[in-house]
Amino acid sequence: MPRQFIIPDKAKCLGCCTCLAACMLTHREEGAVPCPRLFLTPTAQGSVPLQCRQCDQAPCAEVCPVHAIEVQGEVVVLNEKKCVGCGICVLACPIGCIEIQAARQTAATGITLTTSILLPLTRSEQDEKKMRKIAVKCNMCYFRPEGPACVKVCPTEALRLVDEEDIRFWNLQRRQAYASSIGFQGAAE
Amino acid sequence: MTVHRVRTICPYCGVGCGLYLLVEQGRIVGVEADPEHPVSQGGLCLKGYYGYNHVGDPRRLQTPLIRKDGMLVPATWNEALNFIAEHLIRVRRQDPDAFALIASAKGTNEDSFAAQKFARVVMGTNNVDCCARLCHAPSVAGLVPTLGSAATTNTIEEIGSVTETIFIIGSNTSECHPLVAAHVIKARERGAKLIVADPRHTEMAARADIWLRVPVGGNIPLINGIMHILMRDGLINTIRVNRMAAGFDALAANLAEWTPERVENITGVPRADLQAAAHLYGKASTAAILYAMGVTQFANGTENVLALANLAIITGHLGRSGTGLFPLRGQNNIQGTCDMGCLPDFLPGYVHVGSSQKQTRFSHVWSVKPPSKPGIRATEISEGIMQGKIRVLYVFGANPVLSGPDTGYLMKALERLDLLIVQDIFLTETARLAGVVLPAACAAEKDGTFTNTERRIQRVRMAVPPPGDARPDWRIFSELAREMGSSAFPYRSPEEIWGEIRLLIPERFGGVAYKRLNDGPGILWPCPDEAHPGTPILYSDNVFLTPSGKAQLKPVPIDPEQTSAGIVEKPDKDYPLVLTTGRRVYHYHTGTITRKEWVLNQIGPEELVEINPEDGRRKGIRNGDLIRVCTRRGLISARAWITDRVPPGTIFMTFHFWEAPVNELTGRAQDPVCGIPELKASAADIKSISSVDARMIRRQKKERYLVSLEVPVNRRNVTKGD
Repeated sequence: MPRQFIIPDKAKCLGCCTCLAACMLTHREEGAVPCPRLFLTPTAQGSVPLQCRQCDQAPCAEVCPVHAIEVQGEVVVLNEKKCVGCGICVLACPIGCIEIQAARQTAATGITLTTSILLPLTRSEQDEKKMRKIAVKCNMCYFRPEGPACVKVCPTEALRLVDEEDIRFWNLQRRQAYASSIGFQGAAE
Repeated sequence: MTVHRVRTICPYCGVGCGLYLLVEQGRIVGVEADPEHPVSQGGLCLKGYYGYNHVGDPRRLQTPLIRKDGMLVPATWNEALNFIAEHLIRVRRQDPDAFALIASAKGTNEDSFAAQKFARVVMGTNNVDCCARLCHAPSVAGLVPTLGSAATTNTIEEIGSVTETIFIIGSNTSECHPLVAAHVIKARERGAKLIVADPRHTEMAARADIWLRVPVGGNIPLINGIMHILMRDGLINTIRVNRMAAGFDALAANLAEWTPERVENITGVPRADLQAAAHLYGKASTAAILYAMGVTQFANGTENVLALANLAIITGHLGRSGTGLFPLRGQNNIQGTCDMGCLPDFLPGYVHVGSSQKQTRFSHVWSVKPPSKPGIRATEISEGIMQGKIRVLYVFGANPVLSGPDTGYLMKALERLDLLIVQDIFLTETARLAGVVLPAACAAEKDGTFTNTERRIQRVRMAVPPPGDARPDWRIFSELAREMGSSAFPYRSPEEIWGEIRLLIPERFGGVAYKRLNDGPGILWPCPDEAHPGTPILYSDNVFLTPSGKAQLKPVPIDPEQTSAGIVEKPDKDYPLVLTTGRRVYHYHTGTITRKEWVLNQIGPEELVEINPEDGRRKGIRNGDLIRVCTRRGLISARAWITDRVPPGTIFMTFHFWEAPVNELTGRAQDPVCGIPELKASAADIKSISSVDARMIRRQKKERYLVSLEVPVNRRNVTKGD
């Protein structure tokens, strides 16, 4: 199966958080921890949402002591039931796109988070102790036939689903541009 | 199960995006973007997509409430209307001007029209105002005398497809008007240039070609400086300016002293950046200015707007496609609410209350001559109550107890009223203090029209029935009028009200028939007859709506001795920081609706005070610390967010949270021309506090705003509030 992942276009992102909300609700409906799997990351050039690249040799999967993270086809999936919240995957991830979140069960709204997403600050340490900790990462909404929810709702199309065909196409374009720069004009028939 | 799709308009900001509400068994179960909508073009922000659960929230008001023995208890409509009518008839007999009405900018045009007609025809007073007083009053005061109309001159779509240079000043566009920002991004994709003037490093500032970090209150020197450079470098076509505008010589004389060096001294904006920005804007063949509260919410807000109008006029950047002025409106129907005359000095269609000639048509249709003395402004109401002039206040779809300014003073004033009537969809902080509360239908529960920030009149449709006994606002006003013996409200539908509006203001709305709105993408006023397509671009051929048809240039001099930014309450030894206020993308205004949406409240669960790292270090405050923010008016507690988004010496807060009600801190300094308060600048101090202290302050706020009173309807009868 071809590999897929999502890349942001930093020139297009508004920092409007619509992708975060879509991600939270989609996973909530699925019964998963309703944390956003995208991390809106502030930079000097503006915010940019970052998420798991679905690595082929996923370091997180390799280090997970309870095999909660597995490469299933094109997606690196985290099984929340197995996760023990040890955090080793967070250390292993080369791009910082797994995070340990604390979640607790309340009667009124089901699972509720107690941290602000833009600025992960815990309400109080006592609260934190009572909560179950769990690792969250992007799973490409693998359960959703329409594909990743964040890509669908972004108002500026700043999130893009990339598959191997895209990569092959871009690579070919670049090679042709390079070829023409060294004197080979015109594409082949 | 069948799902109906109801095409309507987003109820949040002034962009007016198109959406479909998905309805299943009388409940809204989802939202889809409308791909054919001319502005949103298939996009929505997170409020539009996910902010619909408030409609079916169990905390919605479902019956009228009357205060008895200090408690708000359920009543029938008959009881409530009787009670109010008796009271109002007495007030009307004694002094009609003792009644004041604050109208909602979230209702439909028909609701707003009914509200102001109620005040003028039934009560006989011009004491009717809306939240434009807190947002775009300076645009009315600044653009009506100079250009003839305070509305956006062009369509939003043109920004994305035509404009060459976009100048955003005092607008956090990507958070407050995300789908306008989407058009700016589209423009950047095709190579348009972006200039942003803002003290904060907003998402738009981060993406700008030139970011002018103007200090809070430094707009006038900045804009005058830009005009000075354009004059100096010969980029102004004086012949053209004199042909289309009056007053150029006086302006030119005033601009002579605004050298880039002087501007740099006052604002700290490097002269090279200022020059680059001036050239980018001045030389562009199509250029647009987008502005919002960072221009208007100052005690010199009107002058800020005048300066921008001058800039647009002398560069000739008006009246063509993609070229104009965009005062970005904050509320879904604030444009419409102003158009409908919810202003103390203007009848519907901006007919001045004192203009006897134009008033005739109102007297004719209403069979009553509307009062000709301008009424009281929303920002003067607390003072008016304290002086005993206002005795009954009718608040319709507004929450002044959190939206300010200086709400401590307002709350004291509200206690002195004979009667406070609040008509809303939830028991807001203001409603909890009322003598009578009337339950209203929300936007998804009624038919009517909204007018968005680009003057586009759009159809709003009922998707679900209102909860319990809640009713559309226009119907409540009509029934109350009938209860008070008036025959001026015979309406059976919003369309009949709209018919009267078309009859009264044919030059703007004559051609805007419901049947045209039903099928199409909305119509931009002016649209005088049914064959007229509407007017996407105002002032084409440089014909202005002023009496002379020429634009009027009005120089904006400031005190020549002035060496710092022009704000009233300057920072000093005791209050060394400038507190500025605004919004975040995931909440809306006082949070009445968005704080009830699970996902929105989860993304932004609490107030975060933006503090520059330099100030954080000096005050010993770290990221995430609990802090106390105080001004001369009060104190609140919140969490610190140490960030470069704000410049040193400036802190930023929002007014979304009752837990950290920033408008307890803002002051009552006002613009003398239009009465807008200086919400964007207060002298403040911050201090790190313990979590025990923070909890104590939070408890005080909880008691102060009677938070425990707002409970789901099934638990309301067992609640013992005070």
